[in-house]
Amino acid sequence: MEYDLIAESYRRRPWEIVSKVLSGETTWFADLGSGPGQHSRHLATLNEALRGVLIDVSAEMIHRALKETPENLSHRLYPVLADMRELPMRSDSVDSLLLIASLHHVVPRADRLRTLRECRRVLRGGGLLLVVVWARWQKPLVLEVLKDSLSYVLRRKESFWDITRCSRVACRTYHLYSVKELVKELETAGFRVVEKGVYVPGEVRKPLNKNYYCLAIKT
Amino acid sequence: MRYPLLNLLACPMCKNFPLRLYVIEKKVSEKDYAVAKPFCDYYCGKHEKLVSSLDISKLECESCVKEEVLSGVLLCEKCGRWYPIINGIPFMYPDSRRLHPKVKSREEEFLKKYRDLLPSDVREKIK
Repeated sequence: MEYDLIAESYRRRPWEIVSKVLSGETTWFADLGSGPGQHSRHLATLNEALRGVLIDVSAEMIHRALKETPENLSHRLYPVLADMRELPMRSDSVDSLLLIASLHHVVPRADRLRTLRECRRVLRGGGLLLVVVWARWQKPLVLEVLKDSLSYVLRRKESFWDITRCSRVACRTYHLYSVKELVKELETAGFRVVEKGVYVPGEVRKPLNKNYYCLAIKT
Repeated sequence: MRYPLLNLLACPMCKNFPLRLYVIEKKVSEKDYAVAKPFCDYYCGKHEKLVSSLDISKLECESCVKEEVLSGVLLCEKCGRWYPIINGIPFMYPDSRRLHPKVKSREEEFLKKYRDLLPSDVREKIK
Protein backbone atom coordinates (compact mmCIF):
# COMPACT_ATOMS: atom_id res chain seq x y z
CA MET A 1 0.00 0.00 0.00
CA GLU A 2 1.56 3.23 -1.22
CA TYR A 3 -0.11 5.32 1.50
CA ASP A 4 1.35 3.11 4.24
CA LEU A 5 4.78 3.82 2.80
CA ILE A 6 4.43 7.59 2.90
CA ALA A 7 2.63 7.67 6.26
CA GLU A 8 5.73 8.05 8.36
CA SER A 9 7.11 11.06 6.52
CA TYR A 10 3.74 12.67 5.77
CA ARG A 11 3.51 16.13 7.35
CA ARG A 12 0.71 18.53 6.59
CA ARG A 13 -0.76 21.61 8.22
CA PRO A 14 -4.55 21.90 8.46
CA TRP A 15 -6.13 23.91 5.66
CA GLU A 16 -8.29 26.84 6.79
CA ILE A 17 -10.80 26.12 4.03
CA VAL A 18 -12.17 23.09 5.95
CA SER A 19 -14.30 25.35 8.16
CA LYS A 20 -16.48 26.10 5.10
CA VAL A 21 -18.14 22.74 5.67
CA LEU A 22 -19.54 23.80 9.05
CA SER A 23 -23.01 25.21 9.28
CA GLY A 24 -24.71 26.18 12.52
CA GLU A 25 -26.26 22.72 12.61
CA THR A 26 -23.13 20.61 12.23
CA THR A 27 -22.54 18.07 14.99
CA TRP A 28 -21.40 14.91 13.20
CA PHE A 29 -18.91 15.03 10.37
CA ALA A 30 -16.71 12.57 8.52
CA ASP A 31 -13.27 13.21 7.05
CA LEU A 32 -12.74 10.88 4.09
CA GLY A 33 -9.11 10.20 3.23
CA SER A 34 -8.22 11.81 6.55
CA GLY A 35 -4.55 10.84 6.53
CA PRO A 36 -3.12 11.50 10.00
CA GLY A 37 -6.16 13.67 10.84
CA GLN A 38 -4.90 17.25 10.83
CA HIS A 39 -8.09 18.69 9.32
CA SER A 40 -10.40 16.90 11.76
CA ARG A 41 -8.37 18.03 14.76
CA HIS A 42 -8.55 21.58 13.45
CA LEU A 43 -12.36 21.41 13.16
CA ALA A 44 -12.78 19.73 16.55
CA THR A 45 -10.72 22.51 18.14
CA LEU A 46 -12.85 25.23 16.50
CA ASN A 47 -16.10 23.87 17.87
CA GLU A 48 -16.41 21.70 20.95
CA ALA A 49 -19.79 20.26 19.95
CA LEU A 50 -18.33 18.52 16.88
CA ARG A 51 -17.68 14.79 16.59
CA GLY A 52 -15.90 13.33 13.61
CA VAL A 53 -15.23 9.99 11.97
CA LEU A 54 -11.81 9.83 10.35
CA ILE A 55 -11.71 7.38 7.47
CA ASP A 56 -8.64 6.28 5.58
CA VAL A 57 -7.67 3.13 3.72
CA SER A 58 -4.10 3.16 5.04
CA ALA A 59 -3.54 1.38 8.36
CA GLU A 60 -0.41 3.44 9.02
CA MET A 61 -2.25 6.73 8.46
CA ILE A 62 -5.13 5.71 10.76
CA HIS A 63 -2.70 4.46 13.37
CA ARG A 64 -1.07 7.91 13.30
CA ALA A 65 -4.47 9.61 13.45
CA LEU A 66 -5.28 7.70 16.65
CA LYS A 67 -1.86 8.30 18.18
CA GLU A 68 -1.80 12.02 17.35
CA THR A 69 -5.29 12.81 18.64
CA PRO A 70 -4.72 14.63 21.95
CA GLU A 71 -6.60 13.25 24.96
CA ASN A 72 -8.88 16.27 25.20
CA LEU A 73 -10.25 15.51 21.70
CA SER A 74 -10.12 11.72 21.76
CA HIS A 75 -13.72 11.30 22.92
CA ARG A 76 -14.90 13.21 19.84
CA LEU A 77 -12.66 11.97 17.00
CA TYR A 78 -12.98 8.36 15.84
CA PRO A 79 -10.42 6.92 13.42
CA VAL A 80 -11.70 4.02 11.28
CA LEU A 81 -10.00 1.94 8.61
CA ALA A 82 -12.23 1.76 5.56
CA ASP A 83 -12.52 2.27 1.84
CA MET A 84 -14.38 5.43 0.85
CA ARG A 85 -16.04 3.66 -2.07
CA GLU A 86 -17.91 1.53 0.52
CA LEU A 87 -18.52 3.73 3.56
CA PRO A 88 -19.20 1.89 6.84
CA MET A 89 -21.82 4.40 7.94
CA ARG A 90 -25.60 4.44 8.10
CA SER A 91 -27.58 6.51 5.60
CA ASP A 92 -28.52 10.13 6.46
CA SER A 93 -26.19 10.11 9.46
CA VAL A 94 -23.74 13.02 9.15
CA ASP A 95 -24.17 16.78 8.78
CA SER A 96 -20.90 17.47 6.97
CA LEU A 97 -18.34 15.61 4.89
CA LEU A 98 -14.76 16.46 3.96
CA LEU A 99 -12.94 15.11 0.91
CA ILE A 100 -9.68 17.01 1.20
CA ALA A 101 -7.00 16.09 -1.32
CA SER A 102 -8.31 12.55 -1.44
CA LEU A 103 -10.90 12.19 -4.22
CA HIS A 104 -8.22 12.89 -6.86
CA HIS A 105 -6.44 9.68 -5.79
CA VAL A 106 -9.48 7.56 -6.72
CA VAL A 107 -9.08 6.13 -10.21
CA PRO A 108 -10.99 5.26 -12.44
CA ARG A 109 -13.90 7.68 -12.79
CA ALA A 110 -16.53 5.04 -11.98
CA ASP A 111 -14.96 4.68 -8.52
CA ARG A 112 -15.01 8.45 -7.97
CA LEU A 113 -18.70 8.51 -8.82
CA ARG A 114 -19.29 5.59 -6.49
CA THR A 115 -17.47 7.49 -3.74
CA LEU A 116 -19.58 10.60 -4.33
CA ARG A 117 -22.80 8.54 -4.32
CA GLU A 118 -21.72 7.02 -1.00
CA CYS A 119 -21.14 10.55 0.29
CA ARG A 120 -24.66 11.48 -0.74
CA ARG A 121 -26.08 8.39 0.96
CA VAL A 122 -24.47 9.04 4.36
CA LEU A 123 -25.18 12.80 4.42
CA ARG A 124 -28.47 13.95 5.85
CA GLY A 125 -30.72 16.12 3.68
CA GLY A 126 -29.29 19.65 3.58
CA GLY A 127 -25.86 18.35 4.64
CA LEU A 128 -22.68 19.82 3.17
CA LEU A 129 -19.79 18.23 1.29
CA LEU A 130 -16.49 20.04 0.76
CA VAL A 131 -14.24 18.64 -1.96
CA VAL A 132 -10.71 19.97 -2.51
CA VAL A 133 -8.64 18.53 -5.34
CA TRP A 134 -5.29 19.32 -6.92
CA ALA A 135 -5.68 21.84 -9.74
CA ARG A 136 -5.09 20.61 -13.27
CA TRP A 137 -3.98 23.94 -14.72
CA GLN A 138 -0.48 24.23 -13.25
CA LYS A 139 2.24 24.47 -15.89
CA PRO A 140 4.66 21.76 -14.66
CA LEU A 141 1.76 19.32 -14.24
CA VAL A 142 0.37 19.97 -17.70
CA LEU A 143 3.86 19.39 -19.14
CA GLU A 144 4.12 16.08 -17.26
CA VAL A 145 0.77 14.96 -18.62
CA LEU A 146 1.72 15.97 -22.17
CA LYS A 147 4.96 14.01 -21.92
CA ASP A 148 2.92 11.01 -20.83
CA SER A 149 0.48 11.28 -23.77
CA LEU A 150 1.62 7.98 -25.21
CA SER A 151 0.27 5.94 -22.29
CA TYR A 152 -3.15 7.43 -22.97
CA VAL A 153 -2.90 6.67 -26.69
CA LEU A 154 -1.88 3.10 -25.83
CA ARG A 155 -4.84 2.93 -23.41
CA ARG A 156 -2.66 2.30 -20.41
CA LYS A 157 -4.70 4.86 -18.49
CA GLU A 158 -8.39 5.70 -18.55
CA SER A 159 -8.21 9.48 -18.61
CA PHE A 160 -5.73 11.74 -20.38
CA TRP A 161 -5.57 13.65 -17.08
CA ASP A 162 -4.55 10.71 -14.88
CA ILE A 163 -0.95 10.98 -13.76
CA THR A 164 1.34 8.80 -11.65
CA ARG A 165 4.01 10.65 -9.69
CA CYS A 166 6.78 8.99 -7.71
CA SER A 167 8.85 10.13 -4.77
CA ARG A 168 11.74 8.17 -3.27
CA VAL A 169 9.35 6.07 -1.17
CA ALA A 170 6.20 5.52 -3.21
CA CYS A 171 4.23 6.24 -6.37
CA ARG A 172 0.77 7.80 -6.25
CA THR A 173 -1.83 8.26 -8.96
CA TYR A 174 -3.82 11.48 -9.32
CA HIS A 175 -6.69 12.46 -11.51
CA LEU A 176 -6.21 16.13 -12.40
CA TYR A 177 -9.61 17.76 -12.31
CA SER A 178 -10.78 20.96 -13.91
CA VAL A 179 -13.40 22.89 -11.91
CA LYS A 180 -15.98 22.16 -14.60
CA GLU A 181 -15.34 18.41 -14.43
CA LEU A 182 -15.56 18.38 -10.62
CA VAL A 183 -18.87 20.24 -10.73
CA LYS A 184 -20.17 17.81 -13.32
CA GLU A 185 -19.24 14.73 -11.29
CA LEU A 186 -20.86 16.20 -8.17
CA GLU A 187 -24.05 16.93 -10.12
CA THR A 188 -24.04 13.45 -11.64
CA ALA A 189 -23.90 12.04 -8.10
CA GLY A 190 -26.97 14.13 -7.18
CA PHE A 191 -25.41 17.12 -5.38
CA ARG A 192 -26.07 20.81 -5.93
CA VAL A 193 -22.88 22.90 -5.99
CA VAL A 194 -23.28 26.08 -3.92
CA GLU A 195 -19.75 27.47 -4.14
CA LYS A 196 -16.63 26.75 -6.19
CA GLY A 197 -13.22 28.25 -6.77
CA VAL A 198 -9.46 28.13 -6.40
CA TYR A 199 -7.82 27.46 -3.06
CA VAL A 200 -4.15 28.02 -2.28
CA PRO A 201 -3.24 26.93 1.25
CA GLY A 202 -0.83 28.90 3.41
CA GLU A 203 0.31 32.48 3.11
CA VAL A 204 3.44 31.85 1.09
CA ARG A 205 3.01 30.78 -2.50
CA LYS A 206 4.76 27.47 -3.09
CA PRO A 207 5.05 25.61 -6.40
CA LEU A 208 2.21 23.23 -7.32
CA ASN A 209 -0.01 24.16 -4.40
CA LYS A 210 -3.03 25.32 -6.34
CA ASN A 211 -6.27 23.47 -5.66
CA TYR A 212 -9.87 23.64 -6.79
CA TYR A 213 -12.72 23.35 -4.35
CA CYS A 214 -16.46 22.82 -4.48
CA LEU A 215 -18.94 23.11 -1.66
CA ALA A 216 -22.00 21.00 -2.42
CA ILE A 217 -25.30 20.36 -0.69
CA LYS A 218 -27.48 17.26 -0.56
CA THR A 219 -30.89 18.48 -1.64
CA MET B 1 -12.73 2.73 19.44
CA ARG B 2 -15.16 4.74 21.52
CA TYR B 3 -18.81 3.78 21.95
CA PRO B 4 -20.29 6.90 20.26
CA LEU B 5 -18.91 5.65 16.94
CA LEU B 6 -21.67 3.00 17.08
CA ASN B 7 -24.13 5.87 16.56
CA LEU B 8 -22.94 5.90 12.93
CA LEU B 9 -21.14 2.65 12.16
CA ALA B 10 -22.81 0.34 9.62
CA CYS B 11 -21.73 -2.69 7.62
CA PRO B 12 -19.71 -1.42 4.63
CA MET B 13 -21.09 -4.20 2.43
CA CYS B 14 -24.80 -4.55 3.20
CA LYS B 15 -25.12 -1.17 5.04
CA ASN B 16 -27.01 -2.80 7.89
CA PHE B 17 -27.24 -0.75 11.10
CA PRO B 18 -26.55 -1.09 13.99
CA LEU B 19 -23.58 -3.41 14.36
CA ARG B 20 -23.25 -5.62 17.41
CA LEU B 21 -20.11 -5.02 19.46
CA TYR B 22 -18.27 -7.70 21.45
CA VAL B 23 -15.60 -6.19 23.66
CA ILE B 24 -12.46 -8.18 24.44
CA GLU B 25 -10.24 -5.52 26.01
CA LYS B 26 -10.94 -1.96 27.03
CA LYS B 27 -9.28 0.95 28.74
CA VAL B 28 -10.82 3.80 30.71
CA SER B 29 -9.35 7.26 30.27
CA GLU B 30 -8.49 9.16 33.44
CA LYS B 31 -9.54 12.41 31.90
CA ASP B 32 -13.00 13.77 32.64
CA TYR B 33 -15.02 15.18 29.78
CA ALA B 34 -17.87 17.65 30.03
CA VAL B 35 -20.44 16.35 27.56
CA ALA B 36 -24.01 17.20 26.63
CA LYS B 37 -26.67 14.53 27.18
CA PRO B 38 -27.52 12.57 25.13
CA PHE B 39 -24.09 12.52 23.50
CA CYS B 40 -25.38 10.47 20.56
CA ASP B 41 -28.32 11.68 18.49
CA TYR B 42 -29.79 8.40 17.23
CA TYR B 43 -28.38 5.17 18.63
CA CYS B 44 -26.77 4.50 22.00
CA GLY B 45 -24.06 1.86 21.49
CA LYS B 46 -23.55 1.43 25.20
CA HIS B 47 -27.16 0.42 25.87
CA GLU B 48 -27.70 -1.03 22.38
CA LYS B 49 -30.92 0.93 21.99
CA LEU B 50 -32.28 3.87 20.02
CA VAL B 51 -31.79 7.10 21.97
CA SER B 52 -35.51 7.85 21.56
CA SER B 53 -36.37 4.76 23.62
CA LEU B 54 -34.10 5.65 26.55
CA ASP B 55 -34.63 7.73 29.67
CA ILE B 56 -32.12 10.50 28.93
CA SER B 57 -31.82 11.57 32.57
CA LYS B 58 -30.46 8.12 33.47
CA LEU B 59 -27.76 8.00 30.80
CA GLU B 60 -24.14 8.18 31.88
CA CYS B 61 -22.63 9.69 28.76
CA GLU B 62 -19.78 11.37 30.64
CA SER B 63 -18.43 8.02 31.82
CA CYS B 64 -19.22 6.24 28.54
CA VAL B 65 -17.03 8.59 26.45
CA LYS B 66 -14.05 7.74 28.69
CA GLU B 67 -14.11 4.09 27.67
CA GLU B 68 -11.95 2.98 24.77
CA VAL B 69 -12.40 -0.46 23.20
CA LEU B 70 -8.90 -1.74 22.41
CA SER B 71 -9.87 -5.08 20.92
CA GLY B 72 -13.16 -6.60 19.99
CA VAL B 73 -15.42 -7.73 17.18
CA LEU B 74 -18.15 -5.90 15.31
CA LEU B 75 -20.76 -8.22 13.90
CA CYS B 76 -23.32 -7.56 11.17
CA GLU B 77 -26.34 -9.63 12.02
CA LYS B 78 -27.87 -9.22 8.58
CA CYS B 79 -25.13 -10.54 6.30
CA GLY B 80 -23.04 -12.31 8.95
CA ARG B 81 -19.81 -10.42 8.24
CA TRP B 82 -17.52 -9.60 11.14
CA TYR B 83 -14.95 -6.82 11.56
CA PRO B 84 -12.08 -6.84 14.05
CA ILE B 85 -11.07 -3.98 16.33
CA ILE B 86 -7.29 -4.13 16.57
CA ASN B 87 -5.27 -1.78 18.82
CA GLY B 88 -8.32 0.46 19.16
CA ILE B 89 -9.00 0.71 15.42
CA PRO B 90 -12.05 -0.84 13.72
CA PHE B 91 -11.08 -2.57 10.45
CA MET B 92 -14.15 -1.84 8.30
CA TYR B 93 -12.71 -2.88 4.95
CA PRO B 94 -14.97 -4.19 2.17
CA ASP B 95 -14.54 -7.82 1.01
CA SER B 96 -12.19 -6.93 -1.87
CA ARG B 97 -9.63 -5.37 0.42
CA ARG B 98 -9.82 -8.16 3.00
CA LEU B 99 -8.38 -10.50 0.39
CA HIS B 100 -5.14 -8.47 0.40
CA PRO B 101 -2.41 -10.62 2.03
CA LYS B 102 -1.44 -7.85 4.45
CA VAL B 103 -5.02 -7.41 5.73
CA LYS B 104 -5.68 -11.16 5.74
CA SER B 105 -2.64 -11.89 7.88
CA ARG B 106 -3.65 -9.19 10.42
CA GLU B 107 -7.11 -10.78 10.68
CA GLU B 108 -5.64 -14.26 11.09
CA GLU B 109 -3.25 -13.02 13.75
CA PHE B 110 -6.20 -11.39 15.54
CA LEU B 111 -8.27 -14.57 15.47
CA LYS B 112 -5.39 -16.69 16.69
CA LYS B 113 -4.93 -14.39 19.67
CA TYR B 114 -8.55 -13.69 20.63
CA ARG B 115 -10.82 -16.36 19.19
CA ASP B 116 -11.04 -18.30 22.44
CA LEU B 117 -11.99 -15.19 24.37
CA LEU B 118 -15.12 -14.60 22.29
CA PRO B 119 -18.52 -15.98 23.33
CA SER B 120 -19.35 -19.22 21.52
CA ASP B 121 -22.22 -17.73 19.47
CA VAL B 122 -19.82 -15.13 18.04
CA ARG B 123 -17.12 -17.73 17.46
CA GLU B 124 -19.54 -19.68 15.31
CA LYS B 125 -20.27 -16.66 13.16
CA ILE B 126 -16.67 -15.80 12.29
CA LYS B 127 -14.63 -17.87 9.92
